[in-house]
Amino acid sequence: MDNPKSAATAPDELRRIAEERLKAKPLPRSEMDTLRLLHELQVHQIELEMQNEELHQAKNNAEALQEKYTDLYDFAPAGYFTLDHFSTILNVNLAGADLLGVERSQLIGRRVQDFVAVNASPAFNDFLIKCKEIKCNVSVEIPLQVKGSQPIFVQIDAASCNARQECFLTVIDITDRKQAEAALRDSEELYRAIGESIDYGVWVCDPEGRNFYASPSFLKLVGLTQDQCSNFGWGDVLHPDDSGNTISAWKECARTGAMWNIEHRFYGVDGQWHPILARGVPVRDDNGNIKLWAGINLDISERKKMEEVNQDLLARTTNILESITDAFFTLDREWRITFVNKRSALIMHKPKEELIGQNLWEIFPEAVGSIFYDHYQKAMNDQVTTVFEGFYPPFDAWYDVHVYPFEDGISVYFNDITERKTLEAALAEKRLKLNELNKTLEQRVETQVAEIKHKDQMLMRQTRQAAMGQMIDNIAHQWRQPLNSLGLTIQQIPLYYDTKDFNREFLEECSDKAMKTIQHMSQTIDDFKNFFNIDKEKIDFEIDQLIQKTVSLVEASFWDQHISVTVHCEHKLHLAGFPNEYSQIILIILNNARDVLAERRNINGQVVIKAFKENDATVMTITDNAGGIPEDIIDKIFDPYFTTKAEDKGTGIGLSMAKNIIENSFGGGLTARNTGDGAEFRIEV
Amino acid sequence: MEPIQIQNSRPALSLLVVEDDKTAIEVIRVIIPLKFPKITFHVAGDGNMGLALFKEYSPDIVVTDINLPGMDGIQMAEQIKAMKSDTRFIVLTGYSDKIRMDKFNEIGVCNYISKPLDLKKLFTAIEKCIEEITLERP
Repeated sequence: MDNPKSAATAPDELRRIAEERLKAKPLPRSEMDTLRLLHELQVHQIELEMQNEELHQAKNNAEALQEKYTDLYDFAPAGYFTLDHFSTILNVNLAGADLLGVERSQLIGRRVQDFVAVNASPAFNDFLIKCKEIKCNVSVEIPLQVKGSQPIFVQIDAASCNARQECFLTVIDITDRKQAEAALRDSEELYRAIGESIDYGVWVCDPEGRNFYASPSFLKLVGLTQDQCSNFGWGDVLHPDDSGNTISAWKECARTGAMWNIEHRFYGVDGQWHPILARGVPVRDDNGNIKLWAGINLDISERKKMEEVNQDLLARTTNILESITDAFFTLDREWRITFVNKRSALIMHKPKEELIGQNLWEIFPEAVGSIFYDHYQKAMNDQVTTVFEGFYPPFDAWYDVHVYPFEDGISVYFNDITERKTLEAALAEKRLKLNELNKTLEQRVETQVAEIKHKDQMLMRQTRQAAMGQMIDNIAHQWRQPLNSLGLTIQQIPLYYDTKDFNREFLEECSDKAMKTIQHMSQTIDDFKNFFNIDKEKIDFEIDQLIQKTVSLVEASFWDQHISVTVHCEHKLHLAGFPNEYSQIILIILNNARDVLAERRNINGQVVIKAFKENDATVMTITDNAGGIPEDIIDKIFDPYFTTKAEDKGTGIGLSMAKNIIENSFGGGLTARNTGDGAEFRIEV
Repeated sequence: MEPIQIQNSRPALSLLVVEDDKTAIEVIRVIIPLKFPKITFHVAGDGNMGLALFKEYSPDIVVTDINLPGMDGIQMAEQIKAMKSDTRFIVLTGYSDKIRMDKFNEIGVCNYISKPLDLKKLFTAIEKCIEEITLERP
């Protein structure tokens, strides 16, 4: 490429050089020489003219070429930059200016660095240095920050010219490519992430079904390398039961291009069989030819487990439903029977096979419009639970029915309650009768109560009579002697009348004696009367005195039977309560002892009464020597009406009454035991 | 009171009364000699004493209570019967002595007088015994 300035100076310089060379040559000496020289010069002139013409021609050609190359340069799709040693832009074509978004004229003298994105500056500087040092073509991809627009990615190829210490840059906009690459990378990453998030990843096969990619998670599971897995290598870790089928089915699928969907088991490095669901689709090119197969492996062990659990559960539920005594069936929303247990089929009088899938109302048309119909409709339509009892005339039976709605229909539990209903009816009848009876019950209760009252009164009367009897008995004993004395005193009066001893003194003596006896008898009556008085209030009494007094009431009868009564009582022993009641207890036990001693004709009958303190208790024991209480009745002696005495002798009330008194009035206890010689009654308060 | 006249001069009959009631004894002790002046008369306060007196005097008639301190009337009667079987007994009984009377029957006593003692009955019984003894004795 010529510089116009250098082109102007070249001819002048040429002429000067030529004239100098001519001066050095010797001039012609003869005319001949001159003529020859002239001819020579003329030829040279023509030659030069011809050369000049050629040169013009060449110059024109060169100019046309230059124009052509300039156009090529300027309108090239890539940007061309010429940089000097300092990376200053010497020249730039239109595309280059366009890339940087700056007028060409304003670019000359600026540096390319100014347009490089800040973060890419070091890389670009390295690139330029490398370009100068290595002196060969280098290439870089960097972003440019162009004013007012998004960064653009460019590929810069550089070549340096040693001679001129210049650097030529070719800059191509690769933004679209970069974006596409980024998008591809993103999408690859996305798919990889998706693939890896699926247990066990994704797989890719060639059109013939030969695997060439499997996710690391799958390879890790089965312990294969990609190489081992490739082609049909994955078949080696299939379950023996699955391998034949799977491989042949896969080859068939690859051949037909259908969707791949299979469950198979792979042998894991953990020694377990892993159920995996593989799904895949063919990827086709624009012509519809299968380019490759891509798919996923899904870990379905959990699902399998759940299925097993569900199946187990279903089996168990079915078992339960089958074995429960309740009849059970389910209906779908179209009233078709979906499940029916044995019991239910039995009650419906049809085998299961004739029931399953059938419309309930078609099998049992009589039920339409019945109570069953109403309740089932209600449960199905309103999704509510209903419970009812219904009679089904065709079977002549009553049923207790529970209907539960669920998503797909209703379930019905029912039981034949005909028997219960019959019983209920019978019961109702009985109840009616019972009511009748109840009406008279009051009357009967009254009668019973009256009877019981009567019995109570009888008991009271008997108790009183027994007490009275004993009292009279005792009085009789006490009075016998004084009565006898009194009788004799009176009878001797007429016998004396005829004697000399009969006088006023004698009569007075008799009268005094009689009155004394009468007073004694009167006293006896008073004693007994007092004894049977009911104590008004609790008082503190001295046990010794009480015992003596009680014994004095009955001593005559003991005397009659030659029974000695000995009393040993601790001095000043006191007790609070009703003295007469306490006295009655002593009396009852003494009378028993006396009667038993008399009955057994014990010659040296002895009764010993002791009263003493033992710990905090006041104890009185009454011991006899009549031989004791037979062991077989010792537990019964305190029962009311229990007696060993003849009917006219005892009522069996005494000891039970004594026990009642000591327990209720004194809060104490009355017990009996055998001492060996006889019985010992112990009163502890 | 008229004393009963004993006709012949045979040895006098003797009577033993066994009774523990002091009042009764006081009366009887006075009344019997008044009524039967010719009868030898002994009084004992209990069975043992009665038996001792019997051994000493061998009375023809024994008037006894059943209930006696120490040896009772029955035991005493048994022993007396064993010693002298034709001894006459007049038993004074009370209400509560019914059971024991059976025992006397076994021994062979047939004269009972219930208490309170009616002296007329006692006298009649003694007279009856005297009569029997008199008749038996030639």
